[in-house]
Amino acid sequence: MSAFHFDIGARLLLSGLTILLVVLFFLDLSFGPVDIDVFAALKNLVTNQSHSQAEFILLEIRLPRALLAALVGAVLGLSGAALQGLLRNPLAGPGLIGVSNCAALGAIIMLYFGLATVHWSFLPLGGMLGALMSVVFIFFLAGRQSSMTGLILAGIAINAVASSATALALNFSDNPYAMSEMIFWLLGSVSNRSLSDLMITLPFMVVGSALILITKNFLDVLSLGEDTARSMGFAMERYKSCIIIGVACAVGAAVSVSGNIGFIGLVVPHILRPLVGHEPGRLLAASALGGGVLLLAADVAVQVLSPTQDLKLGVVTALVGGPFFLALVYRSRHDVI
Amino acid sequence: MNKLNAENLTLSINGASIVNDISFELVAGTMLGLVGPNGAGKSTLLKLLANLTTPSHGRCLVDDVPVSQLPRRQLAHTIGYLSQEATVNWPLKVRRVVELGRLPYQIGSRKMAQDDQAAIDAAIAKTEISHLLDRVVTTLSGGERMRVLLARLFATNPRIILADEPVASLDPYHQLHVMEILREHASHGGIVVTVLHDLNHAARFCDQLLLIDAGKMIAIGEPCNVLSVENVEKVYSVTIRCDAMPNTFTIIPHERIPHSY
Repeated sequence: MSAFHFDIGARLLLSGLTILLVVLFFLDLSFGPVDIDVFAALKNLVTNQSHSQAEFILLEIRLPRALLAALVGAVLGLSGAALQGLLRNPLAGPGLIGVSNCAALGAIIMLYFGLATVHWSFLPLGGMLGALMSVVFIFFLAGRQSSMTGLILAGIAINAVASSATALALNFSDNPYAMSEMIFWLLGSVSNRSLSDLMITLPFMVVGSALILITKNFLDVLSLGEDTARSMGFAMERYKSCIIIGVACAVGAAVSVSGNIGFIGLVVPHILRPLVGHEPGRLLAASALGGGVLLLAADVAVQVLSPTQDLKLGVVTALVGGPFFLALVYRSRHDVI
Repeated sequence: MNKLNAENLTLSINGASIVNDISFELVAGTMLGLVGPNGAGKSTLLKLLANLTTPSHGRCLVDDVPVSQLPRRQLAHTIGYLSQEATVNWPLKVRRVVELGRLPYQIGSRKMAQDDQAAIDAAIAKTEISHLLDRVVTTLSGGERMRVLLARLFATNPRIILADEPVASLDPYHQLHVMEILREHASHGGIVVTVLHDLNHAARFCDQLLLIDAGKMIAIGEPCNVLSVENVEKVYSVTIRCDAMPNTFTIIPHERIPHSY
């Protein structure tokens, strides 16, 4: 069986995903334990009229949640697409180079030492510091001119160290409350976050995404191999650094505020690839939108499934994403890619 | 004016010299064949010329400017490199693969302009792939894929083409087709340097041959002089039979000469 193409045209795909994103965003806003009139409350917020309970719920609870779901999903989808393009392997994901686990470790350390309760910003800052460390390790282990295999091996090593250190923190956690807090955080969620959490991580997500997006043409040319890409005037090392640092910034910021949310970065590019003619460059923007759509949809599902108990978003994406990915692999196992 | 110079090109890795002090000058209209046994350093020499590998000593110049000093973009417009591993990593449409050849001219995400389209059309015509444009490149045969990759290369409009074993895995029809396309590029005032294993193709299509063994240049010049019985037997360790024909000659490898270890 040859690879299938459902190229439906760039504009149609991107506008379709955008519409879906907006619809799901408002759907996500309208869910919650309390019934509020979302549009009326939004209007009041904008026109700065009476701030009643509805406006408070929207501003403090639902907007951060929906915005984070969209942004974190977008960042994960974009990073997954970029790494799959860079490594020319559809099984790559944002977790591959160790960024997610290092960001999680950074946040866990903040929780472990109780610094997260000192000031709210310590938790996301710790996560981003962890992500930064992973980049330092990658360049230290694999070097700027490393082969792709070297990069993957460095990622495996970093992942192993970060997850064992996380296990150590859980192991030595002296009270059950702190331990459950860490575990809940690790499961991944976008609920109970504030707009301040969003604002502190937003710049890193934006800068990281911009760094990734400027490699669009490079990723297309890289389809022809590293030597050919370089012979066509694309500096391999520079673009590779752009992607790794971009992914670390964006995913590090995302994980530091939401915890580990798996499979989005792996599944989204995989689903959308045939729709963009398998072009790694065009896949970037589509995967960003698709990631936002999928995580918003998952968050809506979480709220429908368990309106009272807080089912964690990361658990749902992993539960749904895992089998879904298995099915994709099974179906396309004889494909060229 | 249009020329390509190699000046004392040398590459040593951990003390072992892969390419050893190779110099030559090529002028517009020349097709140079790099010939020599496996592991002689042909591909490495080609990468040194393309500025994909940095030489330990010496330099490569295009129109008297060292390639390492040319801006990346400008070098990409001047030198086209056809890699030995003729793979495409994603199942892209053939049309898109050819369009990739215009990316060295693209700044930001500008749309294809008219001159881009003209270059693409010319490259498609030159390589005769118009019937393949809507196919998926990973489903093509080796010969078709090589022509598509050549079209990508021609879309960039390079004056100098460096091709690493472009016909190694092709059937006779496609071998001749690819060699003719490269020959035509040289005859129209370009420069072609290509690694070849088939000495008969080398003798027939190239103006000059460079025979290389263990990184050293054994001979350079017209095919009939470079591929002397003495040279070939020494470098390849095979006895050969030669048939001289008008304007050309054929070489048939006959028997191995046992190595004296």
